[in-house]
Amino acid sequence: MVVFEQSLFLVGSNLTPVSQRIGEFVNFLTKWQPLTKTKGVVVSEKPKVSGKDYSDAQQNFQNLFLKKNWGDGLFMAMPSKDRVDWVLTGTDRNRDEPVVGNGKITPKGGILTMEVLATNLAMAGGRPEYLPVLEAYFKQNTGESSTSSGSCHGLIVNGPIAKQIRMARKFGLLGPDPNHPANGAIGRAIRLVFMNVGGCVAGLGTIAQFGEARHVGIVIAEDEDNLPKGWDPFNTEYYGVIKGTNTVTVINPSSIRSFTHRGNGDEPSPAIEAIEGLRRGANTFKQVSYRTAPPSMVAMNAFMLYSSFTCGVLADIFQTKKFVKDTLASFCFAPIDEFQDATEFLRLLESQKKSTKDFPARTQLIPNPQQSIMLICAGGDHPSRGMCIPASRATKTVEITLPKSWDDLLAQAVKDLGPLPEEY
Amino acid sequence: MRKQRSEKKNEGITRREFLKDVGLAVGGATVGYIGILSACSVGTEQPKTATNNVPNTATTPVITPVTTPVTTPPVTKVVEPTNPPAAVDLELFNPAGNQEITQFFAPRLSTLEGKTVAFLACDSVKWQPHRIFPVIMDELKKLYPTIKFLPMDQFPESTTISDDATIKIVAEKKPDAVITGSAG
Repeated sequence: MVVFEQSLFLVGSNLTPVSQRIGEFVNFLTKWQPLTKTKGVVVSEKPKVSGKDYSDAQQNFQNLFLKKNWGDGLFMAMPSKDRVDWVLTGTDRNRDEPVVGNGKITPKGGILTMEVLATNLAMAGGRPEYLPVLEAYFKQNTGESSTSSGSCHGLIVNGPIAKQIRMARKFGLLGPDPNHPANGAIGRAIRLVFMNVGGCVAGLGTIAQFGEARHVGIVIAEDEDNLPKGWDPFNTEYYGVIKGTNTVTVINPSSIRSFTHRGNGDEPSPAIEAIEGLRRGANTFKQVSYRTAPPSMVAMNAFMLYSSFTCGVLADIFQTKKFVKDTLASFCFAPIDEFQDATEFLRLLESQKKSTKDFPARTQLIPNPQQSIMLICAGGDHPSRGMCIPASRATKTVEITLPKSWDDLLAQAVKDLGPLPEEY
Repeated sequence: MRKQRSEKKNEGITRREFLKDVGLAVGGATVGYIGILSACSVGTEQPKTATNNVPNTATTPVITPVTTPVTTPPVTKVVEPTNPPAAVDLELFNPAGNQEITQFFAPRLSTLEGKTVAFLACDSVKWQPHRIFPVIMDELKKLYPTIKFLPMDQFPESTTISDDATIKIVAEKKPDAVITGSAG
């Protein structure tokens, strides 16, 4: 690879360096040789640490792993045999089995077996009952983009497992919460896998400019117990899964944005208050793309998170999710003077032999609200706020497989952490 | 207390090295040993001296200091062991997983004279391949007058350049080499 400064790749750049370094292109095509000369599996060695006591060994482990780029900068738990074996009680699968297919996680291509997955979950401070969620996640996502956009990872859990393993579904949904530790550990383990196994380390295997929310990603569970009557859970609505099935849906968030849903409190009626709340929500995820003419938000799906309290109010006024989504979509429009001078749009018009006169004064951006807007019931029971995950998409949903010892694992969790927390 | 620490050199890699060898092994995990030694030395106790100073007058007797001898126990010289056993010694699991090499890079060409080089772009304008690729072609042509090119508009662009369908198109056109760019 011939590497140049970023400035070479910008509009109007000076291309002299390309001419000056043509010899490197020739060299890579005629002389360069790779380091590896043999095929087959390269087995990773097990690292060793020592210390005058356990605390000392723990610090030595932390230092060693960070030097090897195995970690996220925060303190980790040592992946000792005892700990990893304990985490592996969360599956009935063979520890050496790849999680899915050949197990390779892009871009580096390290092989993710159940043991390697348990190792990373152990390092993240996870418990065995989180392992089935992670297995379901990596069954459908074997790598992530290493581009500058750097979206974080995310998933939505549906089904009773969310409550059983203490996932946050209400206040403090995005953490941290000592009473609902699962979200953070699961999200952290996913990130560790992408870095340790997939090689997505900042500056080495990814050029994510900001790496937003990457420590634990966006790991949420739907507050299914408190959905309004007649509203299906997300996995049933989108994937036709039977209600009450434990599933993981992988999402690819680009960012997360909070918005004020509730107004002043002196609106003429609850309906107007709700409509204006939806307008504020729509403004949060509205994004105009000029890749089509007219502009649209095609492929710019959004997740809208509303608490069960707000969902109840919306259900009282709009009845169905469909009506809520149609109303949200109605607020996503672009007036023509917002885009009529955009270079990309003008080029499209030229290629289609059209002019701006062919377009209405206002263009609706979402042609299919039912597919593009995904309503999730989650967050603290309070009317004030909503949360938007814009420009995201959900891929598919995978059913979670539980080990035979599931009830024992949950019983142990009660011994270790106390009874399930009160929901708030 | 003294500590001795030995550790292997950090084996981190540069981005350039990583990008060249993506998909290949980047060395196995390096086993690093960190041993910590501690030792205490025992010294000899000094004799204790008691004094009582009083001004010297004609009627005041002079009191001379009295030294009380102290028996010194025999000193045993402690030799520090070179590698004393650590209290905690653990083997950990490797979080990076194994890697499998299934395919080598294509062999290099002995010369570019008379060869055909294809150009693939992940985006035809964004990172300036529409300007950079012609410069590369011009310079190569100066060095190898009989070189031939398959320009980027003969292939799909964007993220599809790594798809099987694109690879099939490239293979059908049978270039001797491919240059892809520009990374974003």
